[in-house]
Amino acid sequence: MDIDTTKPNGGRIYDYYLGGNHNFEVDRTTAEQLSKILPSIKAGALLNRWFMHDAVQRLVDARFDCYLDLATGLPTEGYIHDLAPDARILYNDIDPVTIAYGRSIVGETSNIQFVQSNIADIDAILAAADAHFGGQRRIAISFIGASYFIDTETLRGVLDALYAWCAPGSQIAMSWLIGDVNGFAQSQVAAIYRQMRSPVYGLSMAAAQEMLARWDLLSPGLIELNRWNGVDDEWRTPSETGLEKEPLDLYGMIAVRP
Amino acid sequence: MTDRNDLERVAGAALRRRAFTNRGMLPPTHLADMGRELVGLLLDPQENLDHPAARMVARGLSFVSAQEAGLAVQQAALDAADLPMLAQVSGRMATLIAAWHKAELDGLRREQEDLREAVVRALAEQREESDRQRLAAERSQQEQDRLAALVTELSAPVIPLYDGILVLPLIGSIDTRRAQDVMENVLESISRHQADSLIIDITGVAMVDTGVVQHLLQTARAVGLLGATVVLVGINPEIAQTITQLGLVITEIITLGTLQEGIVYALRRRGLSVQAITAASAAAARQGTARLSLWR
Repeated sequence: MDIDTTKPNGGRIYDYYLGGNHNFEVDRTTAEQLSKILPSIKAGALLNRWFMHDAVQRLVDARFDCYLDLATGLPTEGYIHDLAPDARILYNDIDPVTIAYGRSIVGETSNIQFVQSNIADIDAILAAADAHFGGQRRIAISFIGASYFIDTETLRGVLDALYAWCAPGSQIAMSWLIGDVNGFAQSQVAAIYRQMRSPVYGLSMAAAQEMLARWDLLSPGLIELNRWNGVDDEWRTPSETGLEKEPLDLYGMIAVRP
Repeated sequence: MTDRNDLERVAGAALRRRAFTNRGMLPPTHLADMGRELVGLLLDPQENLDHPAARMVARGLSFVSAQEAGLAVQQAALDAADLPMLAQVSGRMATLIAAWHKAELDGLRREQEDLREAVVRALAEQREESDRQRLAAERSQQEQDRLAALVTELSAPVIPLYDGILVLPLIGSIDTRRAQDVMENVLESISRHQADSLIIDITGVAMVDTGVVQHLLQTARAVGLLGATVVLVGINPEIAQTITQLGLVITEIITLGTLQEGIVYALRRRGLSVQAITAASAAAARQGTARLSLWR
């Protein structure tokens, strides 16, 4: 584990985009540089976090008491444990530094645990979930802001494993990048993510729907996150002709495992 | 008179326009409520704006969006030519801005402090972990050292054969490091046992090269300084050939064919000999054996 406050950290950069103060000068500088080449990155982070807020509130209202959160990042204020203070929560991240901060910021209690694992190793995460939830498998899953950093085959495997593991009545809240996959692949944004060794994998609407075919979508279905959050889609790049339509758009949905 | 509901709607719309300046913890769906609260702060009697401002900052409302909403309310008052309200809202806005800045600074300070503490804790955990690993590594190194010492000792055991006589049977291949270990072990044993003869048996040594012979010679010289003599036994024909081919002349060491000859030689130096026991004492010994067997 390399805790170096002079090097930028993904979790702290994300926190900066969300308006948080759990970040250092080096994180803010890097975040601003990233924003210059990827203007939609901050708005995308906000849309995801707002969606998570709303989705988790709905899961809390549906009286779930076990939450599995995939690719947590820094669980700063307004995160699941704030919205569901009595719930059992398993946070997950691939980055040991982020996990260490998370543990320090939130505190690891009997209710809140962290598991450091790659999402692709979903079996390890589910084993940790079984241990933490005491075998309870009717749970709420939050998988937000992460699906499009996983290649399509792995994502399909993760969703299949979640479906096979969780009990009927479980719900999943998830965000996606959906649209013109080929157009995106040729875009500058895609190239930048590839350069950062963190390629982005968008899906066509048909592919996303096919992956969700076995789940029952709850209202309002699979819709754009700006619509979900009731804001104009400011995350598109302004141009002379108005807002530039980008090949991919952020979508969100909540579904039930039948 | 301006309608309160209209003002709240105006404030909410302004907040929504600036939604992306708010923090991740404040979803736009909460902004209508925020607008109502903000209008309350601007219009209703307030003792102090510090606490309400701090609460709104903590809930993720940005200064930019709060200011936009305040300006929108002022504009609405102006449009309605409601001058008393305009005056009140303008005054409140000035106070609110000051309170806002203070709350944001406090929040920033608090969260940065949290982060610093988190880093310190995480670093402490990391240090503990690396300390644990280092201790484990040290323990395993100590264990390895102990085993290595045991192997060395076992590979060059110095056996006290009789008063003043030691035997060093060498087995396997001998490299420089092992030869060094052997020498130290030998010298220590000679002084401990006050030995005058050291028999080195190289029957089990597979190969001899110049280095090994040099070491044997060196050992012999060192043993000589301690007042003892080295007897080299077990030189097989191949080794004898090697020694001559290498052009080495061994004059400082007494060389004998077998371990038995070496023992006889060493005993003789002490004025002792090996001989058959007499018939009478042999019978006594046999009787002793017989007596012992009766006890069974």
